[in-house]
Amino acid sequence: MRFVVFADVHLDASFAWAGADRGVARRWRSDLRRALLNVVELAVDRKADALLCAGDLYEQERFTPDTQAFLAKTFAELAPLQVFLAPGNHDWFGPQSLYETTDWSPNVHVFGSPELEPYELTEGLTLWGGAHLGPANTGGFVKDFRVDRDGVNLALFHGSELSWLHNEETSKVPHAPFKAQEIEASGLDHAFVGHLHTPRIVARHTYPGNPNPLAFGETGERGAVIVDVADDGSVTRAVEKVAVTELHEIEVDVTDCTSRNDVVSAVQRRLRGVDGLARVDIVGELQSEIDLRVEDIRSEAQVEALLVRTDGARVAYDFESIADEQTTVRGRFVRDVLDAELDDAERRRILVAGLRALDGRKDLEVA
Amino acid sequence: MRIRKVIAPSFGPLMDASLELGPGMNVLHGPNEAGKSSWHAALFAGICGLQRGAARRNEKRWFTDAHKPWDHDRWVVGAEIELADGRIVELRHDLDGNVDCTAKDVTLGRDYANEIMFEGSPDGSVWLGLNRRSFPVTACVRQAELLTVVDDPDLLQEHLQRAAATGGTDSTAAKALSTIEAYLREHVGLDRANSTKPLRRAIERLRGAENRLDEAAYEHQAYIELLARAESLDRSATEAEETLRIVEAGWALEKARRWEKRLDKARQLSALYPKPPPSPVADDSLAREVAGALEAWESAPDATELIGPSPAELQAQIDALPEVPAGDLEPDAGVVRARDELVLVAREIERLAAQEPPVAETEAPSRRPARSRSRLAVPMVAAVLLIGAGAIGLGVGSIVGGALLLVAGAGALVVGTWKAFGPASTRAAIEERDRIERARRARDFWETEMARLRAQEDRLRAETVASLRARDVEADEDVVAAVGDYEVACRKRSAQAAEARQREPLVRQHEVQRRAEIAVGADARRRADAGAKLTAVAARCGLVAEGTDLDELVARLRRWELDRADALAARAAAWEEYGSLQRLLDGMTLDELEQQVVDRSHAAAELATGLDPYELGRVELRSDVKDQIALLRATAADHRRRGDTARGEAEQARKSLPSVAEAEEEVAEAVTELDRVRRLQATLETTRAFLEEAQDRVHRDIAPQLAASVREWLPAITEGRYTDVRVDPENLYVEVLDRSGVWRDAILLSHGTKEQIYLLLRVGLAEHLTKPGEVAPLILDDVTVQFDSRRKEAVLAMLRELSTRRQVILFTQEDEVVEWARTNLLEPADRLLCVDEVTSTDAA
Repeated sequence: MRFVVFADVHLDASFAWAGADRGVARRWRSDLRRALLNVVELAVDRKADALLCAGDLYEQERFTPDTQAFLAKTFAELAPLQVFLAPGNHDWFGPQSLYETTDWSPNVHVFGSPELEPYELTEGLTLWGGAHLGPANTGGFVKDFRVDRDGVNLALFHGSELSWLHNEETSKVPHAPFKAQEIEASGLDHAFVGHLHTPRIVARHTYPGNPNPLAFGETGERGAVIVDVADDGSVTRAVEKVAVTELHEIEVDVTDCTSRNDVVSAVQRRLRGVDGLARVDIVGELQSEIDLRVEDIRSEAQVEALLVRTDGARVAYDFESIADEQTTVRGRFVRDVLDAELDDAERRRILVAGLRALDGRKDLEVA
Repeated sequence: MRIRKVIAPSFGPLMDASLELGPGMNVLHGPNEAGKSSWHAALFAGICGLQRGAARRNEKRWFTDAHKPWDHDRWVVGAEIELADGRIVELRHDLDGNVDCTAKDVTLGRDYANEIMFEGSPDGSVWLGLNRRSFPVTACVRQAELLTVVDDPDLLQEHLQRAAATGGTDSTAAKALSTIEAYLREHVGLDRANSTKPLRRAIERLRGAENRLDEAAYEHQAYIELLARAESLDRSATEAEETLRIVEAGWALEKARRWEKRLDKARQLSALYPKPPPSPVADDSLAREVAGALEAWESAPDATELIGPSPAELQAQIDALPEVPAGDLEPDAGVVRARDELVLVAREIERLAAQEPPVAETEAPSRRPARSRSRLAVPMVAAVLLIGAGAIGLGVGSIVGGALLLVAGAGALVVGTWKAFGPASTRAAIEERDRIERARRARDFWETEMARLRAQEDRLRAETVASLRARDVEADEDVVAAVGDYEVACRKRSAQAAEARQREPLVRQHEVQRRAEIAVGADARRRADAGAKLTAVAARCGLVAEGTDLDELVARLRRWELDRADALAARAAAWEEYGSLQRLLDGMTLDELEQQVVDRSHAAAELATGLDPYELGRVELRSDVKDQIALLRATAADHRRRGDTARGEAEQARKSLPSVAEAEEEVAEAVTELDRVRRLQATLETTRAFLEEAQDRVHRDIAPQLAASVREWLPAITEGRYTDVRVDPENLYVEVLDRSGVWRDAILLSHGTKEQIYLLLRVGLAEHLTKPGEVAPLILDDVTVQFDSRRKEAVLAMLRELSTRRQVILFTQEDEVVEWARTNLLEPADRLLCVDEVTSTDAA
């Protein structure tokens, strides 16, 4: 039996955090759909017996009618290949959910119970699935669960494996928590799980991770997982990349730049040949007289989408030397600011702004 | 710091040249293009060097273009300086690569380069507390600066402020604050409704974005609720339709079953009644006659006989009865009572007469004991008698008389008793006298009583006679006997009257018997008539009537009635069943009815096709199943319609549904922008606060120092016109005190005085800006070129005086100044150097 397993597509997610323009966010959302289509195509190409989604297929608070129609059509076209959907905390199952209000084709099965319920795929092979019924407070699916039949028993749900959770971003809430050993204790041969975006392929459970990037800084080989289940319940897994969005994280050292144009040129050089979304980190020592504005870089960079961070750049004022000016206002100002209780970023902005003002410059906003 | 030597191995046009300077005043002169500017630059670069890196590239490029040798690879300059602590250091700057830069102690050979690094390369001015940016503006005074101070009085203050702010390199603190203020106004602005500045715009943008997000979220929620509602209604409609199908199928099956039963019944009845049965309605007059005869017979009275005496016998008894007698039937009670009282009184009289006491004696007898006893006995007896008479009197009704007798007797008894037992001597006499008295009293009493009884007896007799006569009874002397006769007569009349009273009941009985005799006769006639009717109708019914007992005849007629009723009921039932058959067929033939059953069974089976047999089997058909079906149909239609409406509304909403994600992104952008503006605001406001505080503190420090510096020289250089100076710590305004004691604004003084004061202030600034313990040299470039001779001489004199405390290096092209130097400078402390000669000599 072969499955294609995926999770955490987060269709219609908001990319507000990225600070990118809305065209980029729209494009990114479109990429999420295209990634799902890649998953579907993979299932067809690899002649999978079923397509399994372990939750967070979409975002309940944001889904669009178009996404609803897209999903219904996409899965319907897979027929007779079966599609199994286990709602997660972002796409929880309920009367207003897309799961309940969509006219699914017969090959789509949505698990709608807060407890694992069986679906016999073939004789001796049962898929157990559960659903989140709300965005929070969903208990663990496997802690008190025991299979009640022989054969191979697999599970599909959205939950948090506790030992691994600390590796995720700190804001990750442990929805439907479970411990890895509980899977074996429950009699399940394997569990396909969503929620953690970092892929994890271990003995008794599989986190496919988000198939298409949702943020910069994601690590690990992620995509859809092709799972072959043997008669004895053992699984063979292979991760297939299905991502559409290409993210590039680029660092540009501006130490040798002497003007804004130099900086922009340096960024342009690094972005040459780059396609997709890029995040540029400006690092190094930025000469104090350079009036660097993020929007200048973004507007002049020849890439589709660009995020620029300048936190890593240090403005080339020699604060210590200036602080040694015992008798000038400038020296006093720098000493006072250096001695003040300020966070480093704010201190840096105040020092640069003040020194620029004392230099008679008009570019007082410090990125 | 004193500059001992400027060394130019390779700097501009200077090649392997050097310039030794004196510790006092040095005048370097030469014509234009003689190399003054190169030495001036070499002097600066020899001390401060050039920064490394790309910063201030333009300045560096300009310096490079001006002073880098064109035809040599090396670009090196240096200086030998003497610090206030006595160290002599040779500075060497590889200006091209900034690699081979040293600051070696001439004596010790130690390299101090790392101590004085500024912007990547060693800078000798650091020992002064300055740097290569502040050194030129602190230690160097150019001709142009003096001119600007003269031309624009405000620049004096600005220059001071700039020096205080940045060591003279850049802007003033006030300008910096002004710049910040302007930047805040333009790039932040106020959070006011009518503001068009970034802060307000960012707030409004965020507000608008949040509103749009709220609207988007609301519309999204409304949309999914519509979808959910449509889905729910569709499900309800589907469930209702399913239930409707089940109920309709169930109802059809039920009807089919009923039609099958109807057909079965019709078949049965059709077999029973191939033709219509006879009508249950027949001529029933004979039955009515039978019923009437039987009713008449039943209601006819039974045969009865008259009981008791006949009316005639009773009439004879009445006739034999006596009449009612006249007179009392019972003795009159008054007559009888009067007679009885009379008898009692007579008996009393007789008894009293028998007790007549003797007549009383007139005197008292002597003592005669025996007699006394007898005498005692007499009164005692008399007393007893009196009591007895009293008791009798009471008994016969004479209450007064009886009472008197009782009293008298009791008194006599008391007296007698007392006397009988009184003292013996007197008692006898007293007793005798009492006895006589008592006897007399007893006699009197007896007589009185006898008279009263006689009178009573007479009255009673008269009353009795009168009563008898009132009843027509004559009475003679013996009234008592007359009363007896009267009583006998009453009893006789009473017996006759009792016999006469039998008349009235007999008369009533006679009347009853007479009427009974009439009724018995009538009953007998009715019963005979009823019997005759029975006989007649029985004959009509074909029953044998002659010689049959009437009761038997009645029984036969009863049976005849029952048999006839049974026959009629059977015909009525048949007729009813036949009617049922017609209703079952309802105008159809039996074959047509069979076809109907087949059709309906097929229709029901079709309706049941696809339905769950279990659900079909448990369907509950209400008694008002048609209403049930209508309600289900209406419910299904209503839910379907409302579901369609909700779906239509959802579809309508879908067309204009905003993207929540995009709205969130818009909010995020707006938040980012607002955060940026607010961060900028916070940064600039904090910067401004720090800057204001720094400015205030530095001005407070510098103002008195500047004043002191000028005050020391002012009287001398102004030839006593001004004796004192003061500097406002707030804005570094300078005022001087003239001879008349008036404070004057320095910017309003004469050009020459302003120039002198400016130079003094620059010296003061240099002293202030220089690290304590060190003295910065004063380097002047053609500062006197625009002065007239008098002013020139005054300034040169002041510089000469200043050079006693700090090294003064004056670059000049004026012969007049050279002449002054030749006259006034004294070697070895002072030097007059011709730049052209120095350059040429060394170059050669």
